Amino acid sequence: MNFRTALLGAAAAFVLAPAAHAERGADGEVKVFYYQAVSTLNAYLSSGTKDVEAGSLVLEPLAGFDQDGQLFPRLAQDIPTVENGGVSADLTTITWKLKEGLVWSDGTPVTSADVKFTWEYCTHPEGGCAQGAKYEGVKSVDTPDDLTVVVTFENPKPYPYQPFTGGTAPILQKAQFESCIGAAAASCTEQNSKPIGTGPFIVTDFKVNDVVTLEANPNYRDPAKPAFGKVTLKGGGDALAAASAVMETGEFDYAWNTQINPEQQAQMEAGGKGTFVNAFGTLVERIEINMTNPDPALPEGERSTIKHPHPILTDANVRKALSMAIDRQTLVDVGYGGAGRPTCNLVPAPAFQASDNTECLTQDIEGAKALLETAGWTDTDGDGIRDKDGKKLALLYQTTVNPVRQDFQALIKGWWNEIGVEVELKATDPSVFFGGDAASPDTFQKFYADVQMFANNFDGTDAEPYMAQYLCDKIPGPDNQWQGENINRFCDPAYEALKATLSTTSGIEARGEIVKKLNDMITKDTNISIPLVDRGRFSAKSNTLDGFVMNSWDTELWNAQDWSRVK
Amino acid sequence: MTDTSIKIEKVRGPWADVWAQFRKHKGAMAALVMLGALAVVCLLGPFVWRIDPNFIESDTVKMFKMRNQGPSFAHPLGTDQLGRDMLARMMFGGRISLAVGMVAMLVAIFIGTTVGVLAGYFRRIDGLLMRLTDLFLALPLLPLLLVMIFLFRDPISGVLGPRLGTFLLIVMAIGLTSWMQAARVVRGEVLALKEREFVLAARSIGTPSRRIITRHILPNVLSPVLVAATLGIAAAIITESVLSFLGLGFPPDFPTWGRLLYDGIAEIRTYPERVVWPGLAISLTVLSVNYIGDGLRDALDPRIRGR
Repeated sequence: MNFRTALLGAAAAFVLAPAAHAERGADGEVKVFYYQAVSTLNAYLSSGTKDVEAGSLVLEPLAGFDQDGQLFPRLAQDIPTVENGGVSADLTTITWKLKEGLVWSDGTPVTSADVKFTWEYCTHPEGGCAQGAKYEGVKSVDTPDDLTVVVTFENPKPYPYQPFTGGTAPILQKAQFESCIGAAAASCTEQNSKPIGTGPFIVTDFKVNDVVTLEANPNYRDPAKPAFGKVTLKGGGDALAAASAVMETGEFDYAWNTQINPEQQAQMEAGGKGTFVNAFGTLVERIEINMTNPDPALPEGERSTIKHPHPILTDANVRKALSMAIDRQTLVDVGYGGAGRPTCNLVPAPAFQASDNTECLTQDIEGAKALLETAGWTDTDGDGIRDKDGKKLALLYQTTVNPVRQDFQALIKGWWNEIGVEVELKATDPSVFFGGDAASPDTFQKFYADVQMFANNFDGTDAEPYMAQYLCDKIPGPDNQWQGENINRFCDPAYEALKATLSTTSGIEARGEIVKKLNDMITKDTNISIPLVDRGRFSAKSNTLDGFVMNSWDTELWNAQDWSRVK
Repeated sequence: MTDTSIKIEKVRGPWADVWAQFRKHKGAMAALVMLGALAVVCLLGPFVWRIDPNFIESDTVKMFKMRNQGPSFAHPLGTDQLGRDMLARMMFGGRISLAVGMVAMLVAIFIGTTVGVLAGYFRRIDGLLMRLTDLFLALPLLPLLLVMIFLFRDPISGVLGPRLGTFLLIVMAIGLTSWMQAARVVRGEVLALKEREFVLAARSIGTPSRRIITRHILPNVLSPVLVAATLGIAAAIITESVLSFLGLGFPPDFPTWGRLLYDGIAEIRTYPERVVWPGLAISLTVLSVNYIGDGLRDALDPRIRGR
């Protein structure tokens, strides 16, 4: 097999001789910087992005996501759909076909048994698989022949592409991991640090939480790839040091997640050794509005529950005015620079499900004032704060302790003051705010404030679980230990009905249309949630690295096989 | 030639002696001037420099021009990342930080002196009080502060409003966790004092304990108490800075020196002065207070006085 591949490689090199980088390993070494150091290469044992991404150089799923969020086949021949018969009409099974002639880096063939084993590995009750969500609802995985995998779901799945897709659900080699199933998973150090894969590289050395060195996989399916013969993946430092290593000193070719402030971005780009690359996914910084009354005078257990509707914010005009007063472009320029863009959507991407809602992008202070005026909110006592029926337009605005968020608070407070809204600020430690401790009054679920700001996103490209967060039965409260994602306490029968339709609709486009409508219901129609900034992935790449394509739907190293050195 | 005029020294009270001695301590005098200047600038400055510390230009084009300016006549300490005037913020922050330092110190000294005098004077409760002191000393301070703030912030804010509420809470929290050193020092002093002749004399004529403490003991432990007090101010300012730094102090639009320092850290590479100003203010205050404490100790010690 090795000989054949080598021959093929030689032939390919000969045929494509005029084209540069046609030979495997011809471009030497590529240096990659992950400032959060890599601790395992097995994505199933770590929820850390850095581990998943490093592992993706070695292990591959059946299908990955490209830069537009579209599925493309990796180990599979093509993407199964209802049209091509790959997905059954009742939406309960999906049939994947493996590419023919695929081999692991040790030369043995990839079979459907490996795929089935991967499912068993991750769903083993004692395994503690970090990516269990990818395999939720899977009833069985069958292997009618060596190249066919049939996944059967417990219920009809309008979106059947969760299992075995993306960098978080790669295929493991059964022969290597057979003894590592269940409770033994974490103790298989050798397997987890040097997995045998189908990807463009194989691990030669792994120093936990420090350096991973890899070399080109001699059995990679494309004989001309990868162009780099060696990869060094270094960890340690912080985002600033990582950006500097690519942009200023040029020691590295690519640095992951270089989120630094806009001024530092401009400074580093002036160095001329590299460029920042961004890609926008679904992470949206937003202000969530509390539809229930968080008044501390209410008895504990009734604060911020549906028993007491909010005295001010249940007025849709107030919510709209709050949104109109915000200048989102300024927020981006102050806080994120190239790593953000203004948005009016909770689901800003991918394109097929992003609403064309851009109304909020222009700030309209006068319009907001006029709206409040006509809605009956006037300043009757001359203290600069609007009131109506004895209720003052005063809000408590909370978020986490974070320099960018504190700047946002100060700016937004200024704009809201201008339209006659009194704002009191509060900042909580992020580990408490997101900690979910039912005993703490400061969690985002308890929402003991009128408005709060944080960022949230959804995994992959399917927005259905995300839109389901705004259903009435997801409202957090004392009876469910304050666990629930509907932190706005929003409840609308029309929304429930449309969400139910989504659960039975198949086809990417049709689902996208429904998601757009759901998104608009929460944002521009009701302003229950006020999106501010779409925060992208932001990394640094050297000018001498060619072929790099930023991706926010899969791992950032998704096309490492296509990288090459600029000549 | 003899000088015919007779100089009669004015009768001086004990405090004048202390002051005369204190003035000889050059470091302490410099520190007193420095601290006084800081306090005056912070207290009276905002009446002269009338820019609102939280003012952000609402016209975004102007706002972007005003961001991150260096020192100029319009903004002697420059502006921050949102175009807010740093001088105004520093003065406002100084008021809070100094007020927290003073009040927290008073709380700590009051508790410390009371516990110390009682423990030193009444043997029966000595063991109990000193074990209590040990208990407090053994408690990890920061987690305790965090728990106190966590538990009481909402109820107190509900009654007094978020700003006054947080102020009182932080002052009480710092005071309640930093009285132990004062208590120990005072107790040691009282133990020695109560065997001295004048105390025995007072006791022999039947003076009640209450009066012995107020007339004889307290004036004599004043010296260590004053020294502990000055050092306490420094500790309180630093603790408040730590709390602000952790985001647990005042609301985020309420600048204190600690918070300004915290906000500046993010931009230390591009605008180091943003960290330098509040850092310098905290350091100068703490240093001054320490020097004053040093000078006071010398001035209050009759053995050193007049040397």
